[in-house]
Amino acid sequence: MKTVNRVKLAVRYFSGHYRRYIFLILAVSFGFAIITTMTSLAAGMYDNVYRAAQQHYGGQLFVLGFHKQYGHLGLIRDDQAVMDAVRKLDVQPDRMVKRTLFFADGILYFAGNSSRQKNVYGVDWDVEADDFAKLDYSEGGSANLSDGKGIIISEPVAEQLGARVGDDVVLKVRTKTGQNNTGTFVIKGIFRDESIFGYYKCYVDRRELNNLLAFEEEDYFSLGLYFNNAVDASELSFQLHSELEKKLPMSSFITRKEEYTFEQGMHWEGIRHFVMTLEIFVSQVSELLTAMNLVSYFLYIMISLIVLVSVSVTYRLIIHERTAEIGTMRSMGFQRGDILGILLGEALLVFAVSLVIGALLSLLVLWIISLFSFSFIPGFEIFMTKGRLLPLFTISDILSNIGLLIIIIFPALLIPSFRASRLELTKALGD
Amino acid sequence: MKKSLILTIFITLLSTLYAVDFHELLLKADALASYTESDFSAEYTIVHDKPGEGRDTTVAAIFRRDKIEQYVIIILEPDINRGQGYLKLEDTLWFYDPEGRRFNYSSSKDRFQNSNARNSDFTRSTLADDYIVRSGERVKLGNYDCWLLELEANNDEVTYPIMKIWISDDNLVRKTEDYSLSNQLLRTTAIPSYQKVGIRYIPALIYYFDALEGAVIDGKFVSEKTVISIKKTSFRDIPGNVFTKNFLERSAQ
Repeated sequence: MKTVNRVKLAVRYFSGHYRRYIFLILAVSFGFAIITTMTSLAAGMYDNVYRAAQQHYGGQLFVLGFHKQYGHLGLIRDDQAVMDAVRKLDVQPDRMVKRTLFFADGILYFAGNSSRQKNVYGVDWDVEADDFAKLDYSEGGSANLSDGKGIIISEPVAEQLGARVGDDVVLKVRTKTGQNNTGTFVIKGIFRDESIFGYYKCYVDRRELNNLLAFEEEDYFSLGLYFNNAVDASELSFQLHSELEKKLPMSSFITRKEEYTFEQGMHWEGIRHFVMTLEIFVSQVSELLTAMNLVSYFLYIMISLIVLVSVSVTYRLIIHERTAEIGTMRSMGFQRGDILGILLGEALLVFAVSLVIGALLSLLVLWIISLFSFSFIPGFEIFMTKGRLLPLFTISDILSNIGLLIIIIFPALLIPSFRASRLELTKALGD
Repeated sequence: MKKSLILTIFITLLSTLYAVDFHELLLKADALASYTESDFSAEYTIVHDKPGEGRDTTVAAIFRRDKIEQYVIIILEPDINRGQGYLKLEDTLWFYDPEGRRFNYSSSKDRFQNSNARNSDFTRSTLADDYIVRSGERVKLGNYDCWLLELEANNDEVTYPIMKIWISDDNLVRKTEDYSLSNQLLRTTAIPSYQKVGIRYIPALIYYFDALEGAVIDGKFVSEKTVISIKKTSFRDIPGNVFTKNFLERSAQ
């Protein structure tokens, strides 16, 4: 019998006896929906942390300069050497971001209120325009920042100060040698930030901040590299470190956060440069997500086992009910291969319909989840976007979910189908 | 024309002859606020007033050895901070917290116990070493005839790069204004009264007004302020073991 005919017969049997498959379809759909929901939520949570980290640190791969004698202030002076090293990378960055950072001691003042800032960032508004446009603003935005006198602050900081967009705030910092210095900035935007990286931070023009810190205008603390395509950040990090080492004082090559902390604790004179990947910065969050993934994989396996048992039992029953029907088909001249082909065709249809229903069910569940805020769970906000849990569907996750389901279900379908096709005619008709 | 020219030259010569040596004035002011020839100890009561939020009081015992720029401060009140202490040895300022039994680095530029006073306010005055006088003029400050001097730091390590200082004719500092590098007023200090102990002068009351922190009450900005009153002053010798970490630890027990 031709394959086309087998497919036609499989479709006809499936549509004629779809009621038999309802429970089976439900079991597979349910399993696929749960697995898809879990993996897409986990991917969404990681993506949220990663994007927040990118915004916080300003890149995916970094060159940082630390000057021990300037306390918390970082500094890169030899821009030419850094740029030369970047140009020698195998993969060129799509974008480079320079930032100055004043850490821990910045204070914003407005109408007698003050707010200590964990991080005061000096940024190039034009270079990071797209990133700042994507922030979740409760008031104002990132437009009209080109005059250098604008500041973007977080919502809790604005509340602490009692300030709104358009208000003048005074930013107090200490120069590289520890003198008090102040600048007046106009609030242009107030953003919501519930990321793990803290909301006691503000953004001002890099050159203005450099001026307040008594740095040279073009100085910066970090060069962040962005890559559009997936890259091996560790490999690029090694390349960059090797190139920079030829020209600049460098730390050891860093692969873990602990090494970074250790290197920071050492003594040195002048500027020492560090090459870091974003993955190292977010390694603690990654470890948390890995732990969460382990829990979800455990659930994943449990659900898979339930689906396997349900499918196996249901399909055996279905095949058992159809024993006489299979015997009749055999007596009409159907070969064993034809019977197996038709039964597998039906199983494939069941699988395809289950995937579609499962995907729709998953979308429904994810939509319902997105309606609720999970802010009441302490610390959970770091995984959320605008207070909501949002999924991320990646091709690799979807394919691996389908693959996993195939691995679980097909033996449960294939074995009974194979046995049914091998039944002796007399036994099949006798039952 | 000729007469006015002669008059101008005469006035210029006269003012040069009687010109006040501002640096000398700073040296005298420093000398009165520094006790390099003996040790100094006192009890400081520090009342920190945050408008709209109330007051908190800290009592501290202070021991100074100005000739080698050492000091020890031990917090006596409130109970929650009792035993905390500061020890300045050379360029290092240590802060001791009995709760964790640990010494941590602190900075002279940091606020003292979250008040408007700085840790550097408790050591000897070094105005003449750290600043040059940009200008000076005669002014009246309340009942006092004063020199108002505008100072600019001669190094980049002092906390306040620009200052205005009012020195009365008895060479005592009566008021200062501290500015940021960009000329923003940050703090005003007033010393309305001094107590005379022997030949030395010690402030009786010091007021610090924060220019940026405070609250807007009835549409008016009210500064956060700190008032320090100094009592139980003494210029008797202090044992050398007071200026040690061990002393801070023992005092906390």
